[in-house]
Amino acid sequence: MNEPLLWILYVVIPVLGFVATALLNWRADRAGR
Amino acid sequence: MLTVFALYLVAVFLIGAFAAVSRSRTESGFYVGDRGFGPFATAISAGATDTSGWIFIGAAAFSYTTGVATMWMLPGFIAGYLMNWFVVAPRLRRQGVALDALSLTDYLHKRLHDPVGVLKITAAVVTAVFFIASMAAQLTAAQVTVTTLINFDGTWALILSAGFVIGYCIIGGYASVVWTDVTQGVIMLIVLIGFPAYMIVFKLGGVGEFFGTLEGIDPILVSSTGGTVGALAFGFLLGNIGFGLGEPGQPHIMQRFLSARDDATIRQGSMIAMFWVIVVMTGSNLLGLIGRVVMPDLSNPEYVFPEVSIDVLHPLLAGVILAAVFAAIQSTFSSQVMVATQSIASDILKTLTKTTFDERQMMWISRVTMVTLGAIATVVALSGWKGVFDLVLYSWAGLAAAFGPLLLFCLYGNFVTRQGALAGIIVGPVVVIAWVNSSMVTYVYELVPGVIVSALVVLAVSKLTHDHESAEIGNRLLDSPPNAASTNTSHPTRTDV
Repeated sequence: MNEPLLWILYVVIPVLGFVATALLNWRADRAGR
Repeated sequence: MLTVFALYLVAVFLIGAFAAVSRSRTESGFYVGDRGFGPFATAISAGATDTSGWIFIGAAAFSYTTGVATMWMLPGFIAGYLMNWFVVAPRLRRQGVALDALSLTDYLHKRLHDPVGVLKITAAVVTAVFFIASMAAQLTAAQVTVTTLINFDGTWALILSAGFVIGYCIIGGYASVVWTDVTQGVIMLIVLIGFPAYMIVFKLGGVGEFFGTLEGIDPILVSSTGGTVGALAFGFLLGNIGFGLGEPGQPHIMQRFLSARDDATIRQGSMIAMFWVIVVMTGSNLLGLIGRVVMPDLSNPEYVFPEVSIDVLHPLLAGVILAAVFAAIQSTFSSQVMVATQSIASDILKTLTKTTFDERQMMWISRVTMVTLGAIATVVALSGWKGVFDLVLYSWAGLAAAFGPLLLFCLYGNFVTRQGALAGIIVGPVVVIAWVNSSMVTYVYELVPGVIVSALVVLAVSKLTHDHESAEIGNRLLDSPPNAASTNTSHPTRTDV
């Protein structure tokens, strides 16, 4: 079974999603938008 | 089980009715709830609207047959959500306030110089047609669920489902829709987190054993491309990731951004929205996989979630499941019937007849339109033309191709001409329809070529035509300082448009 695949699909990608959102929010706050 | 479900229906109806009391009796009140929604309501409502019965019925069927590889939809949706909340929403909200736009169609009509209203009517027709397809899909999903869980006539299940939702929409308009969406969204979250967690941890031996069992049933279920190889695999991945590309331009989701209170609402809403999409996509994927383990030989995978629920759960909990599925269905159906009604009653009718209707007449026209649309969707659903999964994807792709690239170009540029917009709105869906009916669709989801061709057509036709007025409106909007248009008036005075 391809364990790395399962980690990527169910853990890594979701975490990246949150991180990206938080980063973009932080950038928007800094830009004062 | 029926008691729980009945309680859910009563609660939703009451919430819808109460929401009606607080909104203004104007078109702005009926269609955008006076632009008074904060981050939680905006985000959960957008999410619940976006996530239809498809997630419990169609997407679960997809992962039942194809396995973990359907999770490749998630990065696409994450990208789509990020695009919506950071690239589209802030500008759309601001420009929507500046132009007093009540819908996506209204925005396009006012953003581009459209004196005769051809653009408005075309956009409204495209919206209405694809929404009817999607609404029919929702009713089909309702029928699948009800007939599996209780011994109820399929046709009546469909008709009563339609009637119930139209009921609360008629009473309260957009505010009812948003607040019932929020209720429905919360129920969906509880089920999409609780059910997989309970099943995998307590009934199926934990995570490791669960995936091991899946591999034992069929190795493609844990493969990275669902068993496809070569060009088909590439198409499979592209199509899966491409689903999320459809996010910008979906009229019912854009409506949430137009109705948000202010910029802060959009920013706060984005985190809630990201949480939503991750939980919902993962949850539905696991639902299908769990179903495959528990009932590996279902003849119609679209029945997996209701079948597994009655098989495995206590009847009270099965009632909650029934409520959650209906929540998903109704939240989307209600939003789409609202927007489709607006397209027809406000956009098409007013433009064609050039009559000035007073507010009371518009309310009545809107309500009659709503009932008619519900009836048409019911007939389409009863005809059994296509399954839930296919119809929803078709509608999603058609609307994305018609409006996605166009909206982005209008929000960020001043080069789109009225003719370019018209070309995109027509050609995009035509490509989608042609692709679906050709053999190409086995390789790649029809949204991908639809969006690409639409973007190119809007660009090319805009370049070749002249439309100074649209460019001027664009310049005016792009030049105004970011916060100038963000003041919210609680009861905007509407002179007739």
